[in-house]
Amino acid sequence: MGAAPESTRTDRELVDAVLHKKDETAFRELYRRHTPRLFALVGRLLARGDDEAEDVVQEIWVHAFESLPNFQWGSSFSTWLTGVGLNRVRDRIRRYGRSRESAMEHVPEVPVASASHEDRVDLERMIARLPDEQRMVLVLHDVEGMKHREIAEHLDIPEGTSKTLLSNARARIREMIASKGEWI
Amino acid sequence: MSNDELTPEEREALAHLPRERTPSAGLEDRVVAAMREHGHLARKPARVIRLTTSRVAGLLAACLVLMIGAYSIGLHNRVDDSVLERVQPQTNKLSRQSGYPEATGMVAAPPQIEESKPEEVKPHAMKDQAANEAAAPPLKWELSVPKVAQSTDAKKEDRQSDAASTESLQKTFSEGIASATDLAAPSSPPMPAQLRAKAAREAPAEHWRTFALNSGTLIVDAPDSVRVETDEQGRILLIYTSNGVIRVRLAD
Repeated sequence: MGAAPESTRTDRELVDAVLHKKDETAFRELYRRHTPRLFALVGRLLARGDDEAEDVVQEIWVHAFESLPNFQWGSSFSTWLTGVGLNRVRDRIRRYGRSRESAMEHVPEVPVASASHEDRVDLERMIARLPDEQRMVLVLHDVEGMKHREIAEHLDIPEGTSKTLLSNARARIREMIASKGEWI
Repeated sequence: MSNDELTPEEREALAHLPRERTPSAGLEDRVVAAMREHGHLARKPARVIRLTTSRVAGLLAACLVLMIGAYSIGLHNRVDDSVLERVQPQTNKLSRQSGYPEATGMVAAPPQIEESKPEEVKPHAMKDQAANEAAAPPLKWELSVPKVAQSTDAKKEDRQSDAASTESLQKTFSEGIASATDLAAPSSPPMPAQLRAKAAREAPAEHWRTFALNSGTLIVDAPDSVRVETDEQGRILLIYTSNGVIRVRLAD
């Protein structure tokens, strides 16, 4: 990704330029603005490695622009794009299932230079080993800061289920931390 | 500790997880290509090259050099044709020496497989051979083929004939060049292939000549023997050849 000059154009202006003029420059600007966050989220939710996460990010952008004419701008573009991304991730997991082994192999190596770097990598690995639904709820609630109501909407589950899944996910993580020697 | 609440340490650990990650460098282009494929982005526009005076001049100069180069190659190829014409009868001679009947018509030592070939073929093939020899140019072949049982006198005759032929060619070529460079005779008949071959071998070394044309400069690579000049207004470059005059001018 080349370094692009900082633009003052809003997301909406960029989206309009893409929709009405098929402007590649505007799209690249949108891409560079939102993809790093989208890629981190998708990679963490999928826990299947960077290659598959990139495939899903590509699908998300294409699908997003197929749905954009219906977007009413009731929320920010970023929030809306996250919603599109969650749907794609959920579909992907439903379609292809998940291999526990591959999840264990493909925990993302995050480039964090600090004393607690190893602890963070451990935590990433623990999250990646959670069952799909627990992992998604934990990531959306505890990492992304979503409310149970939003999670329930995005994942198409009752709010109560979201709370239960979160509770179970936290319990599982704590178990893993307690028996760290066995897991990691 | 309740499962519904995070401890401050857990909260901090989760808060320090990176929210952004950079994908591989190629993903952006892949996504753009996919967007284009789905019709969300315009196809890449053709690169527009603005025509400036210097670019046009450069283009014209390149065209001229190409044209003169092509002309030189054309001359050279004609020389090659003459060589081919000379080689063809030589091939027949070689065939005759090997006794192969299809080319020479001789049946003295035919291959075993053609033993049953009828005798009627013989006169026809002999006629072909005679025709081939009649069509051959009067030059002596330069390709080295061993001459069997040739007398010393015959060799001497050959050498004299070679020398006479060369002298004659040189003379004719000089006259041809003189007439080619003569303004009054631009449409003189083309030189025979053999003369052109000789001319090409004996042409002086080529070098560049410079001409001012329409406030520009043309650099022409041509032998000294080829007359090249501009017209009075300096608009047209005139190249005199044995086939006529080539006029070159810069487009407006």
